Amino acid sequence: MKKRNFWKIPMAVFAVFTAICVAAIPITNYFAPMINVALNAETQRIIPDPDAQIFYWTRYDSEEELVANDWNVCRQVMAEGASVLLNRDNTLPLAADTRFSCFSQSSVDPVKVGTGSAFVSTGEGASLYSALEDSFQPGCVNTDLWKFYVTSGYKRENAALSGGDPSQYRINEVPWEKYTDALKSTFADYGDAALVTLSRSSGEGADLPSGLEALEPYMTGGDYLRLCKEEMELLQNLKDLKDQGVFKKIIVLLNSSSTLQLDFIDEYDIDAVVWTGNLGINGLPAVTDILVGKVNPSGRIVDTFLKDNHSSPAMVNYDAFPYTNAAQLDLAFAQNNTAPGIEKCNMNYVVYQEGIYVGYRYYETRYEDYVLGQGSAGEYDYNADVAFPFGSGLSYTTFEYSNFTVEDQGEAFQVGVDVANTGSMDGKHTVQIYFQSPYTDYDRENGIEKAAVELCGFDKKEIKAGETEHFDIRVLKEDLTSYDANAAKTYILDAGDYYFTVGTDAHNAVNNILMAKGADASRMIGTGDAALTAKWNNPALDTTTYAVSSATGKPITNLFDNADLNKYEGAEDQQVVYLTRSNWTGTFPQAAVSLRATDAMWDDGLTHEDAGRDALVEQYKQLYWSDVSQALAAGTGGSLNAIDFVDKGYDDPAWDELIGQLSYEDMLNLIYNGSYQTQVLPAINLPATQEFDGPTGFTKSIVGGANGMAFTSEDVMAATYNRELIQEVGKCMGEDMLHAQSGDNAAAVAGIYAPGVNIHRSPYLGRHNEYYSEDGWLSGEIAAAQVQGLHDRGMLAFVKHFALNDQEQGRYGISVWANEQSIRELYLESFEGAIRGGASNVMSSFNRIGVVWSGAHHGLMTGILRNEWGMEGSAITDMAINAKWMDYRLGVLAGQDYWCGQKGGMGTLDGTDNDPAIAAAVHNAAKNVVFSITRTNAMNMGNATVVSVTPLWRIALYAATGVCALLAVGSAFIVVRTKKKQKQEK
Amino acid sequence: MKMKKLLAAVLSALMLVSLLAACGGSPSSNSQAPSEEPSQPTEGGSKTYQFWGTYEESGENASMLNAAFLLNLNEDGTAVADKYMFANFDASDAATNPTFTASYMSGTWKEVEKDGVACLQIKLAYVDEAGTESNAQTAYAYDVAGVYSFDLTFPVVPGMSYTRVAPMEGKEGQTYADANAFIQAYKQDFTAPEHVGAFTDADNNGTAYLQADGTLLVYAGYDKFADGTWTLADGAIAITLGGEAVDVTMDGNKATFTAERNLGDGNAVTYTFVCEDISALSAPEAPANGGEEPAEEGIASYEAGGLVLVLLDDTNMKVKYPEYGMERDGFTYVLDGDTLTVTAPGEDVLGAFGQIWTAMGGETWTIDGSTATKAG
Repeated sequence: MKKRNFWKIPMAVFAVFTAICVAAIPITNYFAPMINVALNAETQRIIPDPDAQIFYWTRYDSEEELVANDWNVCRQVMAEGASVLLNRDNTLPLAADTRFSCFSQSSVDPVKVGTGSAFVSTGEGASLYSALEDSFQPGCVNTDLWKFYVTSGYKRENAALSGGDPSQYRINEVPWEKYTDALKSTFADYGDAALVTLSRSSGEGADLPSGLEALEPYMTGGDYLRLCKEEMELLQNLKDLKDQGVFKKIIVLLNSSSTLQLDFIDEYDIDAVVWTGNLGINGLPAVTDILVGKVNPSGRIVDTFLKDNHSSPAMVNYDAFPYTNAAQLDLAFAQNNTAPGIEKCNMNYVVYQEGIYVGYRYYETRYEDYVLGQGSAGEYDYNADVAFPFGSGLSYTTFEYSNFTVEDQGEAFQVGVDVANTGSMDGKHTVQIYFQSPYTDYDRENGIEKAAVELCGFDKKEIKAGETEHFDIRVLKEDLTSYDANAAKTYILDAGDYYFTVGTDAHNAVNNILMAKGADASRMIGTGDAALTAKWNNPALDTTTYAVSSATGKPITNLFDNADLNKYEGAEDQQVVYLTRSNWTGTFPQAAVSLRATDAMWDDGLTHEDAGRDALVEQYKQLYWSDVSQALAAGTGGSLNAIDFVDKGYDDPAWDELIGQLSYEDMLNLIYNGSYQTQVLPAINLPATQEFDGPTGFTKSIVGGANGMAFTSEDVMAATYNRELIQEVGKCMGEDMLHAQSGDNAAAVAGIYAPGVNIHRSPYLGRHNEYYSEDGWLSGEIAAAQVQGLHDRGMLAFVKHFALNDQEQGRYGISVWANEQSIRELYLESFEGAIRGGASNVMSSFNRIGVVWSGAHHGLMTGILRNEWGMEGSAITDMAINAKWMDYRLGVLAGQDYWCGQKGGMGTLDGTDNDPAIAAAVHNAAKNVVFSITRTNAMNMGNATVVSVTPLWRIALYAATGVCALLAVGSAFIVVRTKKKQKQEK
Repeated sequence: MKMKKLLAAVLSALMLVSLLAACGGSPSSNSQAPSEEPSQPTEGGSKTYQFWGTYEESGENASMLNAAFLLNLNEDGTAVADKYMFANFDASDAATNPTFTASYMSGTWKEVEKDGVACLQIKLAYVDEAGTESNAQTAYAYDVAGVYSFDLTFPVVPGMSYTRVAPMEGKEGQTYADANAFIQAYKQDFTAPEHVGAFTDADNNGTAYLQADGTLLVYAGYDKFADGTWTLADGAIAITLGGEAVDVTMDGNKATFTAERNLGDGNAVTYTFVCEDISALSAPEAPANGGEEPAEEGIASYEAGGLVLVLLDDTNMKVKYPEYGMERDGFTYVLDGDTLTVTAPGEDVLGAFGQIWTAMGGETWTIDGSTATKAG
């Protein structure tokens, strides 16, 4: 009988294992930063400093106390942000013994958070049912109806996060035919109020469908923000039941960050409408407190709510449009970062043809011109477009303004107004100050646009019933300037009359000014009060005072000529007609701008070829780094430690010495591998850090297992107009993060990729919930408050997405074309407010500004961010995986500091240590990152020694590889020897 | 000899466990109990429930994201969700299957009355090696004719914010006897692309499929990582990858070429693809055009530059732009001899397609066979 050689089995097994391990090593190396975060793996060992000064103590003795405060702050944000838009016959507040029938499947599953980077679990939060019972009384909700919905099987559907598209959204409301007679018979017992929740979700990865033919069966006109037929049917039936006396009132909750098209408000005998945005984990109890009157509502909406969402001039150019010659040039795009085409992402563009006329800047300006019969406004019907103007919101009490004054104090105006609470209920009130800048001949000649009104100041106070409070609000003269990209090429202060007014909303503000101008009241919608205005005259055009940054003293001039098709020479014959108030009907966009990619566009940034990028690198060196002739030293050694730099100013020359202690490899490691973290730097005893998403709350769990707090959508935060409260939100997020620190050697949780401050250019924006408003100035003010709260807790706030990332479609690499006035006055104003309010970090966006990736746009990343606004800190990229256009060399040369990704895929900085320009840029980037970390709670470790360690998972993998290989060889040896023995035996 | 066999078996088992531990898939490491005991005793007494559901995305992320979940609500009040990543096509035993993770999420459950309605309250979280919970969630599942459902939110990268949602459905008792039964129910079979021949790299589990139309698809396992073309002439095979010609070495009829799978940062796997006998291959039927032929549609269709004009009936027409996978209905036409006159719909119908039509389309076309040429 033949003897079998059993050692062949282990030999084969070990050989296979060895092969698997060997293959796993490069793969896991590539994903190592991600794996480290996922496994919470230690990458450092910290030898503690017993005398360490703790810079950032938690304010809470226990996690329970922290969580309780988080919940209270969330509730307070909703209490002050939810806005009552309609309250016919004082329907609200409702009596405490009101009995409810809650309608729509969304009533049992309301939208609390967005998807993607905004997602935080909210399952523990109150339901509408329990919130109503708490605010009113137990048993006040129709349980049969509630049960009907929770078991109906109907629920909303979102678009997929990666590679999703608008066609995936569904409303899925329950058809009326599903309501049985038995169910309907329960309505009368709960007939005080039919409470209808209309919800729309939104999130990262896909914009909302705004007219997709294929979605007709699911939503009216394929439009997600219109009522679907099931919702219309529901409201019609409720109206009929109200007519029959079954219901006394119909109340609608607009549970959506994205503004629904409110063309139905007058159709169904609706008594009250309350906008809640996304509720967060604990917003619902505040909403029901408003319904019962325990809270007097004080929210004021931060977007214009429309009867026709498509009436906005921005909607004509709202999509990702392929360059007409994209096929010939072999352009491509991808909607997620592992899809084919991601290495190019140069196919799409969008043109902001509407200029500054976004949101109320359009509707109120065209309205004013209609009333005054100027600017070819045509027979403009404001009422057909606007349902509720920007800044609207009702209270359960009444307020009256008097003694409106404006005092010129040189650099600023002091605006004063008395506000009397003339009703019977205490309440908070937001004073909104608007200004109007003159629209002059100079403006017309030089293509400068002016909105009829702009928000320039606000404050909020509690006013007792029957009492009067005085408001003093400072308005910077700088905020009245306009950007003249054509003649002065800087900020100007026009000559002429400036109006200031206090308005209950933007429309009321315009009406006040119109009355002051003596306009024909018969053409006006609503009323105004000239007494609530003040006029200030600037005798002469000023083109010099504001041509220098008040933050840095550096000159201000055009930085975005290459984003304006009318200025960028590479556009060749492709000019665009921007919307102008001097000719509304003649310039209102009629069709999306058609654009072809030119050779110059290809060379200047659309190129996906290595040679093209190499050429750009050389250009950047010449343009921005030509004064650097010698590579800076790296790896010099030395005894400086990061802890010694916590109070060192940004311009202190000692920073160069500290950074010089790092090896060039260390610097590159920092720059390459910034995916939710910074790398440990033992050479200067700087620990590793972790950063997390997101705009509506810290998205990781805190140590005790509780989730970080899910706050409301950002627009609700903004609608509070309460800086102190939003600063508290920032502090809460920071505290959650302080409590997420696990283990002595764990990387410090030191930053959050938030807040989001892009602009609600369209209600169909997928990440609407992650951004504050259609108004850049308000966004900047609220963002600054939130950032200050985060800084107070030792956290970095990466304000995102810098910049012009105002849509999700085509976000990877889309070319955004816009003129400099709109870029500065609208889209960058929110970032400017945040940075000048103290923010020290940004996250650059995926898109291009013109044809240049935002992170490689020197004008954006250095010119305006640092030179004009004076940001001292670091800029990370958006998620960089396979995104070749987000080139490392172009980025660092432009002012981008590090990449939220893994090394590789975006070109390389390897081997550039002797290239003077790139090496200097690398030093600069490393300095910005290190500088930022020294301003965080990571410095709580004091003068500790930091040692880099290999994570356990990697050691295990290496060990397994080695042992498998040894055993495979050993087994093979035995197999051979056995064979020999067998042969000899034969 | 018995001792030797035993030693070999023990060593094999030890190494298997250490390998799985290193990869994070060890059964022992994943069977960790939740850090928190159920706060209240299970009201359901001896009841148990089992839930199942899937998350699926098409495209390149499938093997990393697509997963089926099996959630057991146990008698002792614990809830344990296993994860099976079926798009890796591994249906081997759960105990050693690297694409199956026992107890991916865990927690507690109980029967409660929520808002006046009886339901199951399910609390789940990802629990890491140190026992730290993250991605905690509370869900409620309601009884609809004996079937319960809820949405399971699971982390793509545990502990981080990016999550996906798997709709779960379940019943009282046990539908799947064990994890292996579940794997067998949800397993998928890899379907290789249609091919007329192949090059293989047995060591690295790589395959380059030769398709009849001259297209070459290069796979690492089940993931396509490159594509190109192949031609055969005079007994020699020529190959391109990504538009670049590739060196093919011949040893008699045996052909070999290499392809690199770039993993970034200089990390790459080089595949050596071998076809033992290319004389067995027939030349491709037609030059590769990088895509499949459009399916027959309508009563006639014409290649029109980059566009395809599809006559749907006697008057209606659609226009396709295969390059972007776009098409629009709503066109009408009149065919008079070899002259095709096309009327485009309005901007409201055309939308973004209007750009393409403006650039590449036209009103009048001359038909020649299956080709339409823009007149003028």
